[in-house]
Amino acid sequence: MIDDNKTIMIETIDLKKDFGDLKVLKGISEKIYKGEVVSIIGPSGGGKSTFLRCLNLLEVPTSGKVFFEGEELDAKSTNLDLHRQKIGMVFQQFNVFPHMTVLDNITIAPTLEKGMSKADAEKKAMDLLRTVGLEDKANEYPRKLSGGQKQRLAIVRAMAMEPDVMLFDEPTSALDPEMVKGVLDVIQDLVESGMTCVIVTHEMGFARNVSDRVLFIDDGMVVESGTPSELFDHPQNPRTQEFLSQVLY
Amino acid sequence: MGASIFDVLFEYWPIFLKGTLGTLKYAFIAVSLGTVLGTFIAIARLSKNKILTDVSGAFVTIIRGTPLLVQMYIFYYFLPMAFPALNKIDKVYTVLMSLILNSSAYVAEIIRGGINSVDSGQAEAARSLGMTAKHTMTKIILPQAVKNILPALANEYIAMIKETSMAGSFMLYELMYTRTILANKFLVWQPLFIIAFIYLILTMVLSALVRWMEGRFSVSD
Repeated sequence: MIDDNKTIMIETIDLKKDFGDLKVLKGISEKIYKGEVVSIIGPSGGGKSTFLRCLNLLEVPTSGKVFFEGEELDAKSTNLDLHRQKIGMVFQQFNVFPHMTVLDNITIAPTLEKGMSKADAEKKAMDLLRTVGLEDKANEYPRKLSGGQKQRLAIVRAMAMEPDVMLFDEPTSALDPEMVKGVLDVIQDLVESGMTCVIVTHEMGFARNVSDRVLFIDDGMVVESGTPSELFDHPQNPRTQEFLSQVLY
Repeated sequence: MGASIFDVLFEYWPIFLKGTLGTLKYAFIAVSLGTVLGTFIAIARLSKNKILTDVSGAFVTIIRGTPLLVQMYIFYYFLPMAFPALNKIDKVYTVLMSLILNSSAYVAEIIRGGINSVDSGQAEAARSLGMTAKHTMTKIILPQAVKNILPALANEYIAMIKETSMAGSFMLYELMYTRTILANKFLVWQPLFIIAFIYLILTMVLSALVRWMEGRFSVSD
């Protein structure tokens, strides 16, 4: 699904991140292309989530650069908030806003930050809710929703900003097993609509099915990357082989 | 012994009423303005600007680490000496100012605690949507922090009702000041019990109100 002209959406150059003495990222240089779906797999604590969180600067890198659509994100002149509107993010713990109705969760950012009228934002929110089967929950508070419904809400909340890329940080890891498929189906729909996606996941079967490219990150580095079939069927690096031999999928 | 407590209460009840209203008023002013100031101090303490965090942190440490009575003396005697312009304003305001500043330091800690009690994922979600730091604070964090902040603020008001008793020594017409008035009429011990009783009623009623409020908030979870 990579565009012919291969426009670069996100680029990192020698990205490093320390937490105190702990070196979590040890220099990652990667490109995410427009329309591409990249899954990131690897053992816990290997730096996958930190790498993803550096892409919208939720985590500020210790050194290295992050470019989004050609602009350096941590440059002083960059309006980070404006760029973040174009980078949707979905979290493991959903992070829906508990003090707002489902509808307000979706409309707050577009109305506040993009100056969209309340009526337009609500119409768009209802359209989005219909696509994930939550239209009858519009006026409920999130505490009435299941985990899977909260995560679908979180996804459409991000979509309401009309992002150019979506980042998923283990979107199904906190879900009860019977909720996983509903959320993966929504992500699958996004992928099929051509959305650029970066997905940190432990769902190997899903990563294999939806991805154009898979990165295996361990010990703060991209150990191996390739198409799903290259990485899953013919892993070259011993650490990738070791990891894949340990996981069931 | 002279007159009984009831004799004094019946004869001088308007003085006690005025004192009680004064206490409620000054405590309310101190905590209200202290809350406005304390909110800014709390945000300064949580900011990423080192100067802001250091200055606000030092302020809170100094105010909370020294007795209110000492602060009042400094405001009452020293500040007008150091800044002669302050002589032009009523002494009531300089004492009130010390109450407000004192309250603001305690309220700042209450609000900081309330803000910190909100899961960090909430701010991350808001910022990742492209919401500004200001909108994230006012629309996402503070509305959720309020539930933890309000009962603590009410408790601060109750504490302040007792603390304003010190302001009576500086001619603020509050409950404890009635003691001075009546002592001039050679009524020494009766007013003390009446005053103590009124303080007790005030704090008990307000504490019951806080418990009711906490109950209401826990229902909405």
